[in-house]
Amino acid sequence: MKPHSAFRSRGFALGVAALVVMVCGVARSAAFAQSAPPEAQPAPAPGSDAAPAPANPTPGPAAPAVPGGEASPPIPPPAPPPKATEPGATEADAAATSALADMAASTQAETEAYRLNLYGFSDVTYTKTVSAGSFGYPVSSFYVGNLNLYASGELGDSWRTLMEVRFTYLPNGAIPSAQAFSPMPPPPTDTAVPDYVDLNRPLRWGGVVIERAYVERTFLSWLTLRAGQFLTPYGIWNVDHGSPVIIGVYRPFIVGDGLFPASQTGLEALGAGLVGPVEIGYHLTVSNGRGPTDTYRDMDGNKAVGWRLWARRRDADLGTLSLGFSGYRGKYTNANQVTAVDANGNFSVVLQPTVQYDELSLGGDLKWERGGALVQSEIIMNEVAYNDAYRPAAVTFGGPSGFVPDNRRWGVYGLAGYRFQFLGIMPWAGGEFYDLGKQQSNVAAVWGGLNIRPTPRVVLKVQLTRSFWTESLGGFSFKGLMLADFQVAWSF
Amino acid sequence: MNSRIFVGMVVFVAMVMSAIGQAPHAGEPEPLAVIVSRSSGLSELSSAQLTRMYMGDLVDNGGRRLIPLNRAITSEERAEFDRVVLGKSPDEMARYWIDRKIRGQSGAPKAVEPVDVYERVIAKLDGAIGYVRVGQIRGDVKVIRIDGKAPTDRGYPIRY
Repeated sequence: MKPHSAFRSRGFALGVAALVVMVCGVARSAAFAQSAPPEAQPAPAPGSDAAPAPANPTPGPAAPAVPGGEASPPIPPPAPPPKATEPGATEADAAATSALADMAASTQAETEAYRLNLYGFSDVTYTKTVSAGSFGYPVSSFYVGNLNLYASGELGDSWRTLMEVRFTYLPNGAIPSAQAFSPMPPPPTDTAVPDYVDLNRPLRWGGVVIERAYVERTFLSWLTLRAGQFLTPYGIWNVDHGSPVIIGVYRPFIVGDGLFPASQTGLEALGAGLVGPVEIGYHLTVSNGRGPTDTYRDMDGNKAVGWRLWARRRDADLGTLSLGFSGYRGKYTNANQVTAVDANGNFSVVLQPTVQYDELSLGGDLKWERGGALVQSEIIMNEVAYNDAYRPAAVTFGGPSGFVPDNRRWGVYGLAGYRFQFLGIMPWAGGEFYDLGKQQSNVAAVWGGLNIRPTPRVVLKVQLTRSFWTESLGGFSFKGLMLADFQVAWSF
Repeated sequence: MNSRIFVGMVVFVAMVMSAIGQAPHAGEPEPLAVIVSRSSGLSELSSAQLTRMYMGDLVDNGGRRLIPLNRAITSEERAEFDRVVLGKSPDEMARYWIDRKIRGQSGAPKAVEPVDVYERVIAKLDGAIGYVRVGQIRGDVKVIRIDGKAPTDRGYPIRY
């Protein structure tokens, strides 16, 4: 009988194995604990094919284009792969290098070819006129409302461009806005022309609206400079104007009613960053201001200035809260262009103003999101003070003729909704009030409906809208309208 | 004491210790480590910076732009990162990125898979940032602290 020896027993072997496991476990734990920076290096995971750390990766040239929070992250060119020292490293390095090359190619300027990102959105709506009221179109209709196409491109060295155009059936069938509610309106525009490729059958042509077209250069997160035509950075739904983004079928009336110019042509500086846990951002604009030809011609020498300051706090428990304050100050001028001859016989182009006013717009906005919950509101004000020399005559109803007074308009809307996970259904409701100032009766509206996103790219909407005129004016009373809208909006 | 019982106890204790060593805070959810190239000077970010970066906005570090890289949209890590750090489900994130494009803003950070290639890209790309399971950390990347905490620390914010 052999003497019992713990050193030969199965228990001993298990004990040794256990100690090895324990030591390895503790060592791994220690290695992991040291992996946190800045002092220590991470321990490779057991069984991993960790390669030795490469030499200092070659930094690429200045990082290409990016965002003002508004473009893809820049991808420097890839560094050469490190020397492989492990099985499979060559393939993995090749894949990594390939991935880097793809990313670099997608964001860097190309000098021998162009790479353009094309995308956009569109929508189809059926509007059921329940009650046309005083100014609504009386017949229910189907229509394609927006067909907007975006083109964006990285131009290299942090330069980027974005263009957005809207294709529209207008102006066919439309009456000039200034005469739309005239008792004696002109006949609708008829764009039908003989189509020479179709035996001269009538063809109705439409139009293209340039929504925005700009180039920008990002220097830091705090500074991007933009030049061109841009959407005026105010509120929530002036920039977020795409139908798949808007909760309802329409934006609130006050957002589309020009209390701020919808877009401007000029320069914009923007940026954002973190101050503690709060994101702070700004926009500053200098532009032609508002005018009949403001996208390409300023009719006075007074450039408009605008600003927007915003703050956003994202909190896991409290949700995301955003606040913004925007302003715009400018001079509107409409003028006739004439060619004059002075006493010396010199010709020159002279602008003779016909309408001119100074305006100030202010706006505030609030948005809160938590899970599926959404609450948002905007309040907007516009104040106009005419130059008496160029104050236009007023359209009056029955009273003595006069001139358009200085005026202040303001409006506010609020909206709340909750999006369920099931089919992305969001019931929502809201209302708005619009004080049109001295010239017209105030108006209010309530709306509500469903916003359904069966896929992220497709939005189905149902909306009921009821508007009210809150008072009569000059002995006239107006009736509000009631609409039921059904819309499919999609991005592509 | 019977030697077998003694050895058995040693084995048990060793296994417990080993388990503790591998999961420093047993009972806590698993952390996702945020990684950068080992040569990067970056050692710490705040959760607000991380959120801002992965929501598509610019974050600078010492005058250089940070480049967030995502895992594939189908990966569990991506879904958990989006849920824990960005507070959104995959459907919500999909809607978020679509909406950003319609606003004229950037799309989602580039996604790279598999994790081996993902880490190699981060190791080679100056300013790149990513996230992996702790057990997947390679030697050519390093882990950075989030809100001053390492993945092994209690209160580390990215756990799932």
